Amino acid sequence: MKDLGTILMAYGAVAAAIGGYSVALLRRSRRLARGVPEDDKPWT
Amino acid sequence: MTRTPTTTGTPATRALGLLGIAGTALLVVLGLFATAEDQVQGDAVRPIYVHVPSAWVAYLAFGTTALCSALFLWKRTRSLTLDRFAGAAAEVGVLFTGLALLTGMLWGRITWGVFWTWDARLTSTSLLFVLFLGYLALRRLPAAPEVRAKRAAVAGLVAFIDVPIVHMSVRWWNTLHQDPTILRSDPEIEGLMLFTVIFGVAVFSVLFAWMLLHRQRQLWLEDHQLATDVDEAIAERRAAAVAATSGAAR
Repeated sequence: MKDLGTILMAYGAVAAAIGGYSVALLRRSRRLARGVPEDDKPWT
Repeated sequence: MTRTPTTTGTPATRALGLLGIAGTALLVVLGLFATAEDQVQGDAVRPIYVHVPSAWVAYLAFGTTALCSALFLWKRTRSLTLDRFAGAAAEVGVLFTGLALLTGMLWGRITWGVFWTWDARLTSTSLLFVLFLGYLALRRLPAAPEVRAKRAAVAGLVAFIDVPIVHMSVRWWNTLHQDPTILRSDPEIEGLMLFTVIFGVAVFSVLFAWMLLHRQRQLWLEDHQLATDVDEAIAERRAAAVAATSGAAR
């Protein structure tokens, strides 16, 4: 495959950004949601 | 004992998340291995399978921000939930605009020989990125939630004006960027290549929905925490004032 490094960099950047943001979202959610009663949360 | 969930997840978001992960894995297989080389571009076409979906989600996210902002400004539908959806969508939109710019630059390096050129599409997209970064910065300025929401809604609507400019830039100006490939009466790609682009758009839309729901709930938790902190601070000040008054009376 020609230009394999550049193509893989595009896919790697997308995976890293989406994965990194998702993990950061979940970790922050866990920290913020701690201690908030279930009944107070509109989505439960 | 009451079980207290420690995340912003629900069965629906878990299903979306699993769908997003499985879809992304399949998209990588389709984009890197299953699809054939392009007749003109060769393997250089492969970044397009993640570039187009990223650009699509950027449009979708900023469209969501604009819609929620407009509904917030309309008194009959005013709600801080709409403001939180607008803010969450803008943040996800900035992420995907950054990805669209990055994957586009890598594609440009292979196809044009340069990472960047001040082409109308690239310039208007980078302006969109900066405009919504400004929107996110504006949201972080200290203010009462209603005030923050109102000024963010106006900024979100103003920033959204750039979206149709980005989309039409390849028609309005002579640009290096190619004309629309799919959104036309006679799409220039077909078969598995067309399917992979559309599949990528669907998968990234699922990821957008997952991120939007989690981030919106997170913003609710941030507002809740702020309100709790303010209540506690007021109670402390009142207690201190009562103690000082009773001390002075003695």
